[in-house]
Amino acid sequence: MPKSQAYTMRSSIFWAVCAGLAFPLSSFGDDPPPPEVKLALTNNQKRLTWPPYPAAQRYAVQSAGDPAGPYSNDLSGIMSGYQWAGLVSQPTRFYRLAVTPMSDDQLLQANVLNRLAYGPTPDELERLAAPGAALAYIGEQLAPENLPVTFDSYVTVATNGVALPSNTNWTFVNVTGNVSSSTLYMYLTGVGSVYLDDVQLRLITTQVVTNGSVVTTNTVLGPNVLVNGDFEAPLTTGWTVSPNLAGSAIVNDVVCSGTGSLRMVATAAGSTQNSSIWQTVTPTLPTTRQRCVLSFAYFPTPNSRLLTLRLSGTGTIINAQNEPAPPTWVYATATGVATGNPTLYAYLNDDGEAYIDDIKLVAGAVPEAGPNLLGNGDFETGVLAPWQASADFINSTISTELSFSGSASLKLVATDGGGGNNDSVYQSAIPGVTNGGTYTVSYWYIPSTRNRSLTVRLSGSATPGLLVSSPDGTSASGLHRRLDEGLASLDNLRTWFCHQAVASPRQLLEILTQFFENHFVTQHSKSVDYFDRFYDEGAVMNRLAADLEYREISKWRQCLLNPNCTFYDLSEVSAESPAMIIYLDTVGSRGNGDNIANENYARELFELFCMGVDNGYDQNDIVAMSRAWTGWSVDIVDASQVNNPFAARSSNYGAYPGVGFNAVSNIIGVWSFKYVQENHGTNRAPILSEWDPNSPPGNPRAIGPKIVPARFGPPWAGQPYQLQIPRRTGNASIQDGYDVIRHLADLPFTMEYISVKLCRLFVHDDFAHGVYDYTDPNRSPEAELIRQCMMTWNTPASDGRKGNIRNLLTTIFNSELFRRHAGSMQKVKTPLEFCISAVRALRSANPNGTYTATTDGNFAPILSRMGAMSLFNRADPDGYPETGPAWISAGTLAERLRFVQTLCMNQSGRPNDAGNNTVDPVGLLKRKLPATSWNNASAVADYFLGILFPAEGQGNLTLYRNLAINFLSTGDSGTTSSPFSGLGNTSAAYDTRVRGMVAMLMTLQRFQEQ
Amino acid sequence: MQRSNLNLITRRGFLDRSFKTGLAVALSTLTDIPFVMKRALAEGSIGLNGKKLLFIWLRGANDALNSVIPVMDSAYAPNRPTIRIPLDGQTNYSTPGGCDFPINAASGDDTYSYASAIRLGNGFAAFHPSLKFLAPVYNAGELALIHRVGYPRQSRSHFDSQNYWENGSPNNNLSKDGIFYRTMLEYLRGQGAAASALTGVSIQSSLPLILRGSEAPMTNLTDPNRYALLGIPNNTNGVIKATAALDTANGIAFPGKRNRDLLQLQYENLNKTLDIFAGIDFDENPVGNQYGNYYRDDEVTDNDSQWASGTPSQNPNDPNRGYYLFPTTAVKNGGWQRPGPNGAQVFDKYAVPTNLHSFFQNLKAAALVLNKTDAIIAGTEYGGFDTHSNQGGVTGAHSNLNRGIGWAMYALRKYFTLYADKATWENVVVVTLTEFGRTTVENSDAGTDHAEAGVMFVAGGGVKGYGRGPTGVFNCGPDTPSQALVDPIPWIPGGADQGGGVDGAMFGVNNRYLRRTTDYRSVLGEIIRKHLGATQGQLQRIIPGYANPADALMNGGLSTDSTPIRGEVGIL
Repeated sequence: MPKSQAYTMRSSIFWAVCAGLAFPLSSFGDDPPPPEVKLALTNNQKRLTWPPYPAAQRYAVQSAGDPAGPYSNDLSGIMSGYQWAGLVSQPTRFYRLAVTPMSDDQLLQANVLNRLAYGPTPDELERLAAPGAALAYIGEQLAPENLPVTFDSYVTVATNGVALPSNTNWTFVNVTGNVSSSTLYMYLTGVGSVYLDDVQLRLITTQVVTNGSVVTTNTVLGPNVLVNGDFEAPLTTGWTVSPNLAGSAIVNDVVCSGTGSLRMVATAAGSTQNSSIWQTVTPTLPTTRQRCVLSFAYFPTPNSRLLTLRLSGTGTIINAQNEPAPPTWVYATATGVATGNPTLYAYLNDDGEAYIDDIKLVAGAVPEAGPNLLGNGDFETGVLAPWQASADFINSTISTELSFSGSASLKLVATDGGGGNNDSVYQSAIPGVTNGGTYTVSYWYIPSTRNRSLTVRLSGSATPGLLVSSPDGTSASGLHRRLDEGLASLDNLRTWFCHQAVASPRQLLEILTQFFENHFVTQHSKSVDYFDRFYDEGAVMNRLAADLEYREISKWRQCLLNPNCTFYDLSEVSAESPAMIIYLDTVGSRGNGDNIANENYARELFELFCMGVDNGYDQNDIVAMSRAWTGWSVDIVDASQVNNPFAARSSNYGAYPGVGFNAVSNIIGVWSFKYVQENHGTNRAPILSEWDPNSPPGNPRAIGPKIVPARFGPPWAGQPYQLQIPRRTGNASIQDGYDVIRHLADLPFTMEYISVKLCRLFVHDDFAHGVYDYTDPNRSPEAELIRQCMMTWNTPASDGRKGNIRNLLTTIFNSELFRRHAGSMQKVKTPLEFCISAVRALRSANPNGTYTATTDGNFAPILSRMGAMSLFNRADPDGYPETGPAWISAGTLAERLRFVQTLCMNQSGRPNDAGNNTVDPVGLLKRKLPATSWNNASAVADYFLGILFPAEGQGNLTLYRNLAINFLSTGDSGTTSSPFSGLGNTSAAYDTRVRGMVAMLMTLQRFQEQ
Repeated sequence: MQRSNLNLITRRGFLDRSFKTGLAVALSTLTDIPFVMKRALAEGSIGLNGKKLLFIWLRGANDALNSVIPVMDSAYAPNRPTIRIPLDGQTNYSTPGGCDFPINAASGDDTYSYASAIRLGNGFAAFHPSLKFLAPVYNAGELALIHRVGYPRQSRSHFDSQNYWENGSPNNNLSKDGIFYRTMLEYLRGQGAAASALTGVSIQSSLPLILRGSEAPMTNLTDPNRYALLGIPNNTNGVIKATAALDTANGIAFPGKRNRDLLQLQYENLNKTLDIFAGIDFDENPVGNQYGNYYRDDEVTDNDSQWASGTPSQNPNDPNRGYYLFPTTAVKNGGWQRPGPNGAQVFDKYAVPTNLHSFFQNLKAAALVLNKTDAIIAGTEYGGFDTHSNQGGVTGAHSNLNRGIGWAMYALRKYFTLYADKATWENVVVVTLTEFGRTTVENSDAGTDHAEAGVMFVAGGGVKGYGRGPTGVFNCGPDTPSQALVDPIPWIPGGADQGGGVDGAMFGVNNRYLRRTTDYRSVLGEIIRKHLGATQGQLQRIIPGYANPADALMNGGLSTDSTPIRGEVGIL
């Protein structure tokens, strides 16, 4: 029963009243049925009452002397909320209630910002107010790779040698960085080949738009400045090919888009312009702090080598890789003032080691400008002097194992944490350094793999001058770099994740990341428990476990940036994730010999990840399938082998004090999926079979295939869906697991269950799996939407594969259920959604690049109080609930209310319930409203009602509006009158009054909804 | 097929908010008052008889065998070479009678200086020495120790097994509401609008499954001191303004949407319970002359006559000079401050380990809520029982955990006796839950792994324990004809189907798992039925199949997996 897709402004809906009976005068299609309007006559008064109508913008009572009309607005009575009262003073009249509903555009605008995003922001509400803009927003969010993300980007000069993953489809890579030159190089780091397509380099600019008193800051992504980046023209168009890549050619058998791609064939490793395929952009690009986005799609071949695209110099560099390994040498610099008897210290904050090379101290604020005041800063003299090492650093040496330049570096070895004088490697009485002078230090270092902080500083100087050489743990970019380098803790991961949720323009990608992270749930603390058998330091185990979670979501995000992403791709990431292998116990599962395989993952794969509980499988299928996963384990391997499940354990050892050399805790590497073939048990029975009820326990006998039940209707009903896994030997038996997820991915049961979960996320809570009869001609709109989702799923996308995620989402977003009242404000925010939406609700860009609401991203303690929502650490494999009753109780509401009360108010002298989140509602209203309205209580109330409850309709907000206006004109005691119009709009009282009113609105029931 | 899960809410709406529901879709559910609700109106006495329940969750699986120890089983010590609790050479553990209470005569002695198994007097079992404060409760006949508690097809996963204990349905992860929640639902269905606003309360990080359900609000307080709204602009005078606006808004009608009835219900619940909790002094710090935690023992606990306490009184004749009942800070933790040699003060004599202060803060709040409000069930939890390695014996990790159990029961008995308000000790039952027991044989890491049956502690003024009922120790007695009269399934069973018949048979059964003889549902069911006052019909809804003979949960017999179990053990 698909409805018309046309969206027009609907006219007012009318109901007439005559002797207490109501009847509709117009058809209302999908809209909720009309309210029952009551007419009462008491004491010479006529009173009309009616229950609220969803999304009503305006109620008007009209009357006429004749029931046939004409009707006109009756202004003789007084309207208050949902009633109208007038005097009985005229001859008999006929009344009707006119409801002006919200326009479809307005309704859709609120819905998309509540569901495709973590709630509306003031700026997005303005942007989406234009006709058609909400629809455009859906399209924009469905292709996140085209949206620039700048706020968490960082640049390091480090590169690494991660091998290409054995993906079966094109992988999309997209990073942001600085322009360093106008020449782009593309090369492979070894002999080999790879397919490349859709290379784009686009500049990021900021536009400030002034519209009356409204100033909006927009980030704009410019056009692709590369010529022939899509390789649709001959290669010589735009590109120059170096001799080692002479075999490269445009081909049309493997393409990402259009009809051509570049097959790069390298006969020798590339590294610079003379060994790459390159292009110089004309006119030349600005290089002063110019941000840009570089993106491309690649498709590996069996002999692929690391593909590198970079701008000449140290600008944007990207490699075709799923995750970078820890960097090698990193550059750091800082400027500070020398005090006391100037001494330069270098130390770690705990036992461990790090390498430092080419340390330079120069006068002034420009790094490396001028002579190096330090002696032996390149550590090439063979002895430590003039450096000195105090007791905790006595093992520090000149090392020739590693060097950034020359042949040696300083190997800083600490037996305990240092702190400066007498506890560091230091150089004092440095000639040319005087008390009070300004100096700049610079150096290269290799981060300590024990997560130690390396500090280099001048004596006496605090910031500036203090230089801790690990990425900072507060800014989004510092956190991002920590995560990429495998140095981040769980708190770092959560903080970065929440930063993204608040600020990323790719809001749907953030919503989907959380959805799939929660769907394919894993638990950080279970990984920590696993690592506990190898390590003895909590911080290290925390970091390793956080790295598993980060790599997992990074892969899902990489998949979702690809237009061809399917559900299979996402489940493959989950199955291969070490976090999942540990979480659901395949890590130690053995199926060889008489071993009984662990059933945990097999059960949840059926029940929670694919088909839904009691939906097309039984216990015997679990037993049979569990053997497919035996041998799926984890191990620590060299970073270059991170995607090779057959790699041997890394033999690259560190040498930390106090730890046995051969201990696992001393291995430098990355924990990854490891296939242990000898633990694998061959499947003895086909999966998804009908079973012999007389089978021996634990060894079911199949007697035929299971058949898709009739309720699914065509094309699925009656089809057998048994899976027979062939007998395989050796490492080929790894394929058993892939057979399973590939088979499950496109079963109708899976289509149904995943569609139901997505509809619960985007539409409303009341969708179910396993019960709809899709052959019923009177099936509910919910059942119909699920059927449409399944049909979409079943239709191969442009790459020929089923289960395309974007097509599936498009079906949901096009549905009447999503676009209209059935979806609007029907869901309760989870704690995460509540917190993020509260900050976003008041977050608007100031012209100077700051925002009217800020966050430090650290929502973890707040989410914990609101119902123990512990991100990346859910104990139960069913993930956090999507439905309201699980989150809403008086105790959790108290926490939600306290959060917004603290967020909005001055926090001094109060519990710090809102963390380091701040909002400036006065700054916001002064930017958005003309100055003449700043002391107008009605205008101020209307503005905030509009941005906080955009889907409700002004007609239903009149009583909230009265509350807000009343609040603005009431003193802080709550009893005395204090007109808002009389407050100086730069006074503290004005600020407090506005903050209090906003806090009050955000504590109301409607702000719990999305 | 849409599950109608807001029955209570819509019923409330029907009674007092019908003007707010304008949509036909909402109206259709309004008429959907289920027949069970009507039937329940006249059933049982849950919540009406003054009886209350306090639960303590021991998360991580407590090692039953080093809590209530079968010391007379000759296999106990050999199977636990490192972690076993030694016998006291001066004690004859076969002597019948009460429990020994090894109090420390000299003030300088450590509270837990006794380092042997404490004789329980049933001729077979003993307490871990760090459970010494259970002795007075046991000897008063107000403690029942139920050993070998589990359920059919026992899961050895923490997650699953905790789920099953809480949802009351073994091997069923789909049941998303809790056994105590359903108990409260029976009360709410019967009382409707007359029901108190506060029924089931937990004091911990989040509402546990055992109290979770979608039809009626249970309340969890992460931190009772935080259960208050903040003022706008500040707390001194802004509370009125902020709360008045909220109250007004709660009365505003709204268009019908999914979840709006739920929000309305919980906002109203918040409104009501804020006032309830505002009347309880949870604070730790003195406010004027009042203290939120001044509750103290009425006897000189542990013979510690020289204990120099902090506030409120240093008078040696002060009859209230016993230990604080809720050790929430070092100062309030047993005889922490006491005179040492040469007039010095010694600060180390704790009743419970200092890392249990926050647990006792929560326990105190749970006790206060039961005592000061109409709440019927309250509880909290503490963790750390997953002792896979270095579990310790007389001292160490598990010993420290045991101290919490022992002192909690001792203190609750005193609290509900000395400070009873709405909850008297006669009307309170305290029960511990833990997801399973641990392996009978210690592992190579000097710890124990996940196993099956465990032990439950049940205390209360109405409990029929030692001297008041057949026995205080169930399923852990000697295999003698006299014992068979009071405990039909003693430690060492007679039949081969029990896997034994000889001394030591309980060790090593089923790969080192202690075999169950009692289902946890039989214990909880007996409490809910006899104590809280559920009818058998209500119990069938609270614990599905409870009165079904096939499950033998009430009367004993063959369990669904053919294991012979006893039904209700007779503790009440």
